[in-house]
Amino acid sequence: MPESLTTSVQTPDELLVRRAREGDAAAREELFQRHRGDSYRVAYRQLGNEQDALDVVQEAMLKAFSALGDFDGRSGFRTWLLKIVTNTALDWGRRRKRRPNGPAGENPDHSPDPAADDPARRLYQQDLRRALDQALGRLTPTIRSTFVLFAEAGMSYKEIAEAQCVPIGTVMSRIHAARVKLQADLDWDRLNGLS
Amino acid sequence: MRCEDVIRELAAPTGEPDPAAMAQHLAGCPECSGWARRAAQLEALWEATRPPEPAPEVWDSVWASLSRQLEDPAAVESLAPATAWSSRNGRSSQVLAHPAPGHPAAPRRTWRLAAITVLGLAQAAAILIALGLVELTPIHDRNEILPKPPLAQNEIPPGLPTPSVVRVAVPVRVEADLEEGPAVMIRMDGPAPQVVVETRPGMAAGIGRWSGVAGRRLLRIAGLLRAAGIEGWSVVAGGLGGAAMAVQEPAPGVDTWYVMLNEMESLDIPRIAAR
Repeated sequence: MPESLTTSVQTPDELLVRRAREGDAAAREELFQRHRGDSYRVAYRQLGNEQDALDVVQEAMLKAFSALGDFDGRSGFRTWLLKIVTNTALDWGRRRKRRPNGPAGENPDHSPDPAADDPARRLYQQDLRRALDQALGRLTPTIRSTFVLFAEAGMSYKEIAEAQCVPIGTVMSRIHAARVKLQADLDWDRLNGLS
Repeated sequence: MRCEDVIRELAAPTGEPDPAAMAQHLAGCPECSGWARRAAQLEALWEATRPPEPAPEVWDSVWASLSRQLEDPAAVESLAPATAWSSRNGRSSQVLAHPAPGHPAAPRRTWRLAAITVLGLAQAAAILIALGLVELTPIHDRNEILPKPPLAQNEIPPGLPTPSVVRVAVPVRVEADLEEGPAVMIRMDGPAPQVVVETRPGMAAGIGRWSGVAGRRLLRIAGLLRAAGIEGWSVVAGGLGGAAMAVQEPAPGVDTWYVMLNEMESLDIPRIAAR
C-alpha cells in the first residue's frame, strides 16, 4: 500500500486577523503563538534583558490586538506586528536604561538553557551574549532596531523600510553603520573560536 | 571593483555585484578580506547568541495575562502579582496610556519639514525648545513635543543682548533622533528660544564638505532666509552621522560653530553664536 501523503496547510495570517477582528479568541491565540517567538527575539535583542523582552511582547501584543482594525493588510501581519514590537521596545528602552540579565548575566528561570548541563559551555555562551549585548547597547536605538529587524527577524530591506517609514537606502545605510560599529567594538581576540 | 563597493555589498547585500569580481577583489585586498572575515565572525556570534525561547509555562502565563487584558481592560489595574514576571502587569495601563509626567496628554505633531515649509513656518510654527521650556522626545519615526512648565525667569542669564541671536551659556538640551543631513535653524531673540529642524530622509552625510548635498542645502536655506528678509535665525549644520565632528569650514550665512550629532538621544548645546 503506498503511503498517503499529508500536507498541513497553515491558515494565512490575514484570515486569522479577520477572524480575530470578529472576536474569535482561538484565532487571536493562534496569532499570538505563531508570532511570539519572533517578537520575543526582536525585543530581547533590542533590550538585552529577558524580563523586559517578555514585558514588551505582552505590551506590544496588547496594542496589536487592540488595534487590529488599523491593520490594512498592505504589509504582512508579521511586519506590522514587529513594527509595534520594535516601537514598544524603543519606548521601553527610553523609560528604562538598558540592563543586562541578572547577576553575572545569568538567565533567569524563564528560559531553558541548552547549555545547562555543561557549565563551561554555559559560561562561554553567557560571555558571548554579554559581549554582543554590550556592543548592541552602544548602537543608537534606531540603528540597533534596524539591524535587529534585519539580522534577527530576517526582514527584507523593503519590509524594514515600510515598518520604519524610511527609504530602502536609509535602511541599508543603517545596517551598514550597525555592522561597522559592531565589528569595530567587539573584541574579536577575546571572542575566539568564532569563524 | 572598488573597496567601498565591496564593503557596501558585504554590509548590506544586494546581490547586484558580480560574485566573481567580488571574490577576485577579496583575494587581492587584505583590508576588504579582513572586513569580510569580521563580518562572518559577527554573523557567527549572532547565531551563537540567539536568545533561548522562554519555557512553555512562561508563554502560557503571558497569554493568560494578555487574554484577561483584552477581555477586560479595566482588570489591568487589579492584576495581582503572582510571579516575579507578572508583577510588572500593574504598570501596563500606565505604560500604554503614555501620560506625560505631571501633564495630561499633550497635543503632538510631527515635525519633519521640507525647506520651503520651514520658511513658511518660521514665524508661526517653529518648535519651542530648550532652556527646559519644551523637550523633544523621539517616538518611533516622529519627533514629538512634550510641553513642560516654563523655567523661572532667573534661570536665564541677565543682560543678554537683544534682538539678534544671542550668545548664551545656558545648556540647551535636545533629544532628537535625526536622520543624516538635516538643517537646523536656531533663533534666540524671541521670548523663548526656537529651533527648527528640517529633516529629509536619505540625505547624504558630510555637512563638513560644502560640496556635499547637505552642505549645498544649508547654503541654499541660508540664502533663502536672507532673500526673504527673515532675520534672527542661525542656520547650522546637523546630522553628521554617528562619528561626526564639528564643522570647521566657514561658509557664508551658515554658522559653523555648532554641530548636532545625529543618532544621539540627547545633546547639551553649550553656546549659540551671535550674529
